[in-house]
Amino acid sequence: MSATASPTTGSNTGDPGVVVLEARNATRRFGGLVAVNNVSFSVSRGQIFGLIGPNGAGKTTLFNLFTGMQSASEGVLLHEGEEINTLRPFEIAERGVARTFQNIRLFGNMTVFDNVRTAKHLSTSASLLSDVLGLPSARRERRETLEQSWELLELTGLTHRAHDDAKSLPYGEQRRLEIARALALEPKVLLLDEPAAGMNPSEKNDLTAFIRFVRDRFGLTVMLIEHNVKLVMSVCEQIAVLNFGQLIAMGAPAEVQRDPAVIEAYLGGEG
Amino acid sequence: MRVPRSLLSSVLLLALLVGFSVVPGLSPAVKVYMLTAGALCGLSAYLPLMAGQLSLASPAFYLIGGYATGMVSVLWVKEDFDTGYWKVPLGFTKITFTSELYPWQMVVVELILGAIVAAAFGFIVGTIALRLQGIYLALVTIGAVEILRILVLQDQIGPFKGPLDPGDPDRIRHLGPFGGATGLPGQLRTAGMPQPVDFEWQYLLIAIPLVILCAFFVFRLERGRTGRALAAIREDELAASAMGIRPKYYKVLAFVLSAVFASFAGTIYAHAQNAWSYRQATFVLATAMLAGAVVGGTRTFLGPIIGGMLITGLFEALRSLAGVDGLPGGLRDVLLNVSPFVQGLIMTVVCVFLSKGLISPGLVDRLFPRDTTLFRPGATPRSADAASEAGR
Repeated sequence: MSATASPTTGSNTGDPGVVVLEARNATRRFGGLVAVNNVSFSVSRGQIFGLIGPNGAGKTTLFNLFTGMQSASEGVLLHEGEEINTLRPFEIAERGVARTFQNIRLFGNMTVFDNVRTAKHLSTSASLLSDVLGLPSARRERRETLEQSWELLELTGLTHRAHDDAKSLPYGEQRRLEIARALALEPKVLLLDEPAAGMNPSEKNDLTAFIRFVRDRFGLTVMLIEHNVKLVMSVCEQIAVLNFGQLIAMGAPAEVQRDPAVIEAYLGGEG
Repeated sequence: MRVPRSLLSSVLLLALLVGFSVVPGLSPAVKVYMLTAGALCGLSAYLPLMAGQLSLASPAFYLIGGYATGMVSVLWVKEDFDTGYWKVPLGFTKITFTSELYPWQMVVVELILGAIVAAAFGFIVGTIALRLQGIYLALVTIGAVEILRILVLQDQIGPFKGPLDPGDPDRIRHLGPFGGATGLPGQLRTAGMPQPVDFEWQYLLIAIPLVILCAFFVFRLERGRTGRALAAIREDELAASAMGIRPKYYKVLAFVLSAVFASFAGTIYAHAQNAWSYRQATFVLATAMLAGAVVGGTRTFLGPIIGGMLITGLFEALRSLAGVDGLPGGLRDVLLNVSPFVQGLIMTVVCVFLSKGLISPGLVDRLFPRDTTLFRPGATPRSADAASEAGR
């Protein structure tokens, strides 16, 4: 990441008055398996919220519930106080919630630049006809889109890759492109699913600063899933711990780290 | 040894072009005219492919375009036999064109009406197809062509009484508006379709601008917001939807536009062909359209245009070679039946050796440079600003 934030950015615990995302008794079953079991929590505006837990704890499923990719079996999911259970993914995106994918889902045969530009879909409105005719409004919009796309590539340090196919990028850069593409939606909420997976230690360090930076720069609320404990502890202001689909702890990083239930879940206590 | 793709493509293109141009039995104007229809068919096959949808429904839309032409020019517009002028009855009034040629304005009307009906049918097929993908989608689109083809074939009203007397003023009652098995004009007129031109080459005055217009439309479409949305759906529908792209809307849109292009091809072909019937919509045509798009390359608009022209040229060349006098009967049969065989052979060769088709996106980018390098940040990198901003 080309952006480096100083540690003085300080820990912002978000605006506790405004709940952006909320799960109320959210449950998701797959046949007999309960992937997410009666989970309730809320994320405040401006927070960097961490979702951690061992493999198969239901973190990604919870993300899928929030982004309309799967529907909750029971319970309610809210965005800014409104129920979003039945909304489809593009409707969630229209509400200003963007996400990245754990198993990278870039548009592989498109260039890096076009990946970002395509995600400008919602912030542009040129109709097919005005695009074809090259009307002034469409041309103005195109100019803005190009500028903003370059800006995002610059921000994520991918400018030199702009004309390469997305699938040809190394893993770490693909992760960054996922973030750039999500930011192109001009979201208010950003959900990052294991953003550091596949990154080298120096990239991971940069990522910590970068997440804070984009939060401040774009006024985002960030929720992230991450396995890298160091990264989560340093960047998140609030952490929820899932184990076998259940919420076992929630709080500031220091509290969560001391929680016996969390230690047991991670170290595999005998009970 | 690796053969450079551009070389292989140019040799293939040149060989087919030269081959087609020396084919006997067809005038140059008719050859070019056929190629324009092929180009439109290629575009029609290309649009659903842009969204990753395999559609074989184009012949149905092509059929609609041709019937729009037949029904307007044979059933609606009437020739005044005293003056030779053309009358368009409009309820209580009528428009008279003081020309002995079929008015070209009515060809425009045919294009528009055909496009509207085809678009409606495309909307229906596209909506049904939303539930399906891949091979199932392809099967449903084949079904759509068959349904339409059989419907127009079966539209005889009342018992069909064999050959009609051209002098019988009631003869239209014996056939439905599609002319049943004989098509249009079928037995409704002794002559064929009314002709809007004196000379064959004048057809090109309609066909070439139409193809250029359509090519430009698809070019701008694929470089614009809609094209990127379609490509995103083709690449990864779920990710596209997470980016706020509505997959259903764009898939149906692709079908509707595909229908319009095929309908244009039907309209411009019907006049030149002099007749139109259910036989125009065949499965071989469906595969030929798809083959055209695949041979040309499905990553950019120019591929299906070139590929569509190639396949059409190949078909017509083989057909007219079969018509050369003095051929041994056996050879003629081979030539008549060989085109699907050659088409299959070419598709196999292209898929194995040129899996991305003859026209690469890189070639089109060189011909029409992309705008992506515009507004690229200059010497002062913004990352420096960004970093200092973050540090504040």
